[in-house]
Amino acid sequence: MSIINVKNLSKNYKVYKKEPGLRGSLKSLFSRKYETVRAVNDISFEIEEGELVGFIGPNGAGKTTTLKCLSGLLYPSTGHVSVLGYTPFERNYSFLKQISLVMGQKNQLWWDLPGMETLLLHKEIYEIPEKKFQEMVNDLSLILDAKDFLTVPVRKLSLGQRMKMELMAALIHSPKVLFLDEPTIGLDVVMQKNLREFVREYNIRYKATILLTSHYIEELCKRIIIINHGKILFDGLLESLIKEHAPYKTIGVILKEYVNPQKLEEFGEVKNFEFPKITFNVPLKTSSKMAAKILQKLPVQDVTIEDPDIEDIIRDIFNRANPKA
Amino acid sequence: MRYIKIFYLTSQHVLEYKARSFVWFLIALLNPLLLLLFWRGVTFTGTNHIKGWNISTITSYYLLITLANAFLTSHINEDIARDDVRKGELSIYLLKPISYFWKKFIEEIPYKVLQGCFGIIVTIILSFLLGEFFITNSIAIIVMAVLISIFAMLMSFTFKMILGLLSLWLIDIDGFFQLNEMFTLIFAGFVIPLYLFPPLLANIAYVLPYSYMIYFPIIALQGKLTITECLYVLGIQGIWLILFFYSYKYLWINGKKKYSGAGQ
Repeated sequence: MSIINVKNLSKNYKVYKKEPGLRGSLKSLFSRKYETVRAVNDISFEIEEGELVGFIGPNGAGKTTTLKCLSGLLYPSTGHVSVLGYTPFERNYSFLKQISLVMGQKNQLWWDLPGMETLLLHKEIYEIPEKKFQEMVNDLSLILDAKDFLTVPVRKLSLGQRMKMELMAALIHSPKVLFLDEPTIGLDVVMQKNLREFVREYNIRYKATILLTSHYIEELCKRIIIINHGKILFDGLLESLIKEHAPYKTIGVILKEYVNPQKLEEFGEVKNFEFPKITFNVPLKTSSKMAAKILQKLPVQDVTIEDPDIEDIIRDIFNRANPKA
Repeated sequence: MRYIKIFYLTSQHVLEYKARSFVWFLIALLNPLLLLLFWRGVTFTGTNHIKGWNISTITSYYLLITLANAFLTSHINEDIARDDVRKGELSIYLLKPISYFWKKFIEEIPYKVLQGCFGIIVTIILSFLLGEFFITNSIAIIVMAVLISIFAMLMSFTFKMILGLLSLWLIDIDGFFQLNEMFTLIFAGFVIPLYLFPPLLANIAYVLPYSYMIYFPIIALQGKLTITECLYVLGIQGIWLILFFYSYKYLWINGKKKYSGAGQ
């Protein structure tokens, strides 16, 4: 059963355009030029209960706008959005009690007070029974390793600790649907990894439906939606993305001695050659045969066979969709 | 319970920043204090009076303005425009199953209580120094004045909420706020008691809502209104409140559609 249903969603913004300089300012006093920017342009998708979906796109692609429409912050210009059977913008309280939106650069904690105070406030706002609240605090602080700083004023916490508290505040009412907008922004690599693990754990443990925008989510999400200029470019399983858009493997070779570059073409497309390193893109079906041929015919010191880099594939999709960029 | 918790947390926050709150109070105190000194020094000498106002009532009037300003006046419009709309803090409220209006109202109370305490202390000190402070001794009128004050506070808060929400439409809202402050200064009775205004200006002031937020609570407490007049003022305040409430509701429903969640 689909929990999130988006049909022909568009969100337009009217943006004021001013010519540069004083002349432009004076001109704008008499006639203002406005331009309609289509942040999200006629997108449709469905998300099933318990799915963990990655929402990928460059800055300004329309990811955050979509999440804001799904959580009820923005009123769609056209189209239909349904989450848990509710129209998000109507702000039905029983809908709001079942969702959460975490924005990496926005915080809801009380700056001068310990994070626990915000959790207690959320207990009242979301009407969480005492027993359930205690369970959630214990659970979340255990998974996030946050027990030690629950009673420390927020202003004294590090960025990573603050993010953990933000997550606790956002999840204390155990939302069925969770929207995560760049939750790893500003965090170091260790913390990013911990956070990704936490998202996976939360998805499994609470059977929550999660829509996540972030970098490095390929290892986390089976399904991804790629969006650019407000349009969906790909929606499907990560495996399908590789099969459809990169039906090749990458063979990395370290040579013992120099080989004439012209001789290399028979093994596949040479992606990169900087002696002693060569990278070939080889069709998926023939990758094993080609690896054997390379070992046989070239003076090889070491060889690796890998799936193509997901970021490369995504970049390739963006470039194809918008060749001028 | 949720609103009690909000009150509890805001109170902690307010006490954390009590010094800043005191400075704001002092800034607001400056205007009535200077006017009081002007009236005492220049206009009233000895026992003379103008239209029934003498040195004692005018001193009480300005001291009560200090109190009313601290207890009754809201500045929530600035928070809404600056933080909630421009910085996108409204998103935090919109995502929660809670009323934006009442949350803001409850958050306002600890500030008003603290400012009011400053006001009471300063009023006591000044009334001892100046040797003049007079309010009515009629219990019935005091009860009416308290009711008028509660209505005035609700009016001021709802009106400022409305002004704040206008920032969803107007980008350059600050000029508009300043204009409103100017009107408040004149028509709420901050400069001189409206009773001393020329008749035409006084009539304009009685039609506008500003006088019902500051002036009438003060003169009611000074015993310058009869019970019937107090009831009349309460009626007018009630009409304004209904008008403000529906205007707020209309702006909230339509303003949310304009919200872009900027700053995120």
